[in-house]
Amino acid sequence: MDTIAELIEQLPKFGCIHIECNQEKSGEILAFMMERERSGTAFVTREDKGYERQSVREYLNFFRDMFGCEKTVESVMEEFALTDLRRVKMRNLKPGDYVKVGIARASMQPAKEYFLEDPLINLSEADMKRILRWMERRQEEGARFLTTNVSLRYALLMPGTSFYIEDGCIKEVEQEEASKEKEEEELEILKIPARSGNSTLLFEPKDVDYIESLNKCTYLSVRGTHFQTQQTMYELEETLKKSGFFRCHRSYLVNVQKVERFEKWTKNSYVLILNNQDHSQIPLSKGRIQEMKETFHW
Amino acid sequence: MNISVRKLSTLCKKDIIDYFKNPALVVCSLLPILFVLLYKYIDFSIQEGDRNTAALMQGTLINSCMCALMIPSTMIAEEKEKFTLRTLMLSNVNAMEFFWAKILVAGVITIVGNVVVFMISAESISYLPAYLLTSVFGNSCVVMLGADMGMACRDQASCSVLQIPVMLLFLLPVMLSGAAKFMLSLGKITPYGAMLRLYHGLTAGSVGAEKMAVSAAVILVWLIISSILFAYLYRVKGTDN
Repeated sequence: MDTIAELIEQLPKFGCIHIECNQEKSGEILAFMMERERSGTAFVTREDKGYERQSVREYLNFFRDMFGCEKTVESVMEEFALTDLRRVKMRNLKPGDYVKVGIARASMQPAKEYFLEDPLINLSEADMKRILRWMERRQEEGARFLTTNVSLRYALLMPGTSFYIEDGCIKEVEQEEASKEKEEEELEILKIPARSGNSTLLFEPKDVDYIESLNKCTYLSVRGTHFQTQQTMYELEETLKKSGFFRCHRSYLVNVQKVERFEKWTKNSYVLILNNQDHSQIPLSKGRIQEMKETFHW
Repeated sequence: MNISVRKLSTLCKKDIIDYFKNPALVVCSLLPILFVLLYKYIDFSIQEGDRNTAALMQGTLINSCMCALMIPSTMIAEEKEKFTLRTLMLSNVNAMEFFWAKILVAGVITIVGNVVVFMISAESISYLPAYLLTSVFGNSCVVMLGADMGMACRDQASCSVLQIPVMLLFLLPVMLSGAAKFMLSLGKITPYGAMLRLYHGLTAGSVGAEKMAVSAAVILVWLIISSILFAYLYRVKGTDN
């Protein structure tokens, strides 16, 4: 697909569309959505930080009255774990709290479609689960979602179909397994080269948390920093198999030694949680769970 | 464009509560009251009756100008600056509901402020109906102009650049009308100059019927101009930065 319009036309078919894109592109998508008939669409944008002098409770109460919602504000705050923040002024919220408050507001709006900008960013693991469960429930009730995300990782965690933008074209992230390649006898590689400015850094596999493929580029995540490498995902998968790496998703290769646990967040969303500083959540394809269990004898 | 009473009242309620929480706006109402108190209790060597009338005129001018101009413009500019206006528009609030809430709230705050000024100035209570009538009429166009300014500006900083000159333009000619003939003539065509002339005409009978009609026409012209400007800015600028 070449245009946002073409993709959004497909929203009824896909049900949920999650796009990995930068803020500029997200702004274009928002502008497009605003031009459409929007009476049945709820929006949560990253710029809106609410009324700074209102408390969270006052803010939600205002929109509850505005929407004529029958739910109580208390139940909405409980659903999104905002009860402890009810007296906190909007201006004093943390970035992740704005996301939760925005989605709590949208949840009270009578809407069939939701446009959410970065719905999982800056959230704790528990909050991510809450948002994902709400999305899944609304999806089962027939609602559709269009989200824009700065990271493909977030897009893949949500129920629905993920897309990324490359050379101006919108491409679907393939969910299917790559064909199983034959194993070959290879010289064991102990270092992975990655670029950093003018120099090439050589990382030991044990230092790498996970490897991510994005816009035809491959990045190593080492202690929270991303380094681009020239090797493809396939090459890295082949060479790092023996070092305990597993291709958990078409776009992700994870160091299994770093995996703390894996969880089922929604019906179709599985996540590997790493024991690094950020407790990174890496999407795990449903079709690869069995292979992973067999490979590592879990 | 249909206006939902439920949404309008919810918006008004929110704006009134927000007004009390916003020190920059509360000051707009407190300053004129302090000014009237000063004017009344500091000895300017003028007679008691004249002092009351003078305090009322000065207090009314300052309160009307500050509240009617600054409250709607600041509130609208803040909502644009912080993208809350966009969220409202995306939450099925229509532009008329939004602007009418601002205009009504600013209008009510201005009139309540004027009544407080009237009470403190101790002017004869029999003049209150005439005062209320001229206050509502005279401030209607200024509140509308305040809404125009809020709509024209992207944020509060750019709004304040517009507010001060317009405030001075409306205030100075009336306040200094005794100092120069030019100021007196200019004062007659400002909304507040016309408003005060109407009040004097209705209470003291010092202004003839013909001159009162001219004053009413001046306010009406301002109201028409501000309404046309409102429609133009709404079409050109819309509600989103």
